[in-house]
Amino acid sequence: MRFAHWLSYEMQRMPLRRAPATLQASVLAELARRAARPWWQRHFLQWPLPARVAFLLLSVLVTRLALELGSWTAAALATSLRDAREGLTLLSAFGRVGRALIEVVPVDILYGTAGLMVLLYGALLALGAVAYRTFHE
Amino acid sequence: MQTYQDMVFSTAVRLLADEAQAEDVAQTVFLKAYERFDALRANPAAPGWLKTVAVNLSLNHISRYRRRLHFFAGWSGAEDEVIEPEFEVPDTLLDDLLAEERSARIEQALERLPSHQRVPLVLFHFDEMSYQDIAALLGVSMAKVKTDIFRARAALAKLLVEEQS
Repeated sequence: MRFAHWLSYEMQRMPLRRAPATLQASVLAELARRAARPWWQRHFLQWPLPARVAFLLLSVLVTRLALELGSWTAAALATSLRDAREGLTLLSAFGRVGRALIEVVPVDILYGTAGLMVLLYGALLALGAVAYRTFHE
Repeated sequence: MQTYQDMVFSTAVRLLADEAQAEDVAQTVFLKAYERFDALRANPAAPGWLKTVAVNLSLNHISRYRRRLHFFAGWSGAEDEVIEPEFEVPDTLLDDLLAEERSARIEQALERLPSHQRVPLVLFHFDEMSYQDIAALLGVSMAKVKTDIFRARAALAKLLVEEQS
């Protein structure tokens, strides 16, 4: 006998497996738990009509606000970009002034100034450390 | 629910090979049925709907809770269509047993098969689905389904013969 045919024959005749006795009780318990849930935790279609209407109106309002906020942000961004472009123009003017100064001021004075700035920066750090140790600890 | 609970549970437990998981699936099936109670109450297609939902939820359960990659590794490899010869088993296989005992032996042997063999075998022999429908349901090629069913039969026959001897 071909095993496939035998298997089909046997399987078709097999009785159903008996469901556990706890199945029905667990389904009913879950249904009771769901029925006891407050309305806002249920499916939207099961919400009370006023709540559904209020939710839809609120959604429309929030969407409208979001759109307004989007257009306001876009306008603010455009303004910022324009300001930034003006800032770049100002920066290039400073650059031109700096280049002119380098050409006019002797190199020794430039190096001396840079050294003094580093020294002052170090002094500021040291002062900060002393102040921290004195007042914090 | 009482009318169909054995049918739904049997469908799930034969696919999942685990009674606790099958009970979870059966519970979900009936909760879904309750949501459509008005549509299903007097509908002659209700048993078919329940069975289809049980099969789909069982397959979801397998893919979600077992080692997903391992499970789908069993499904995924595209295989060329291999026509393997049908094997013979002794005519006296489980002949000495009563029908109930024979059913129990087959159920036990089925539970020992890996998911990727048991599922197509159950869908083919229990639920009488075609190769094409099984392939569509599992998202694999028809050749893969045929190969898995053939291998499942071979493994099942081996288990039953071993049991008998």
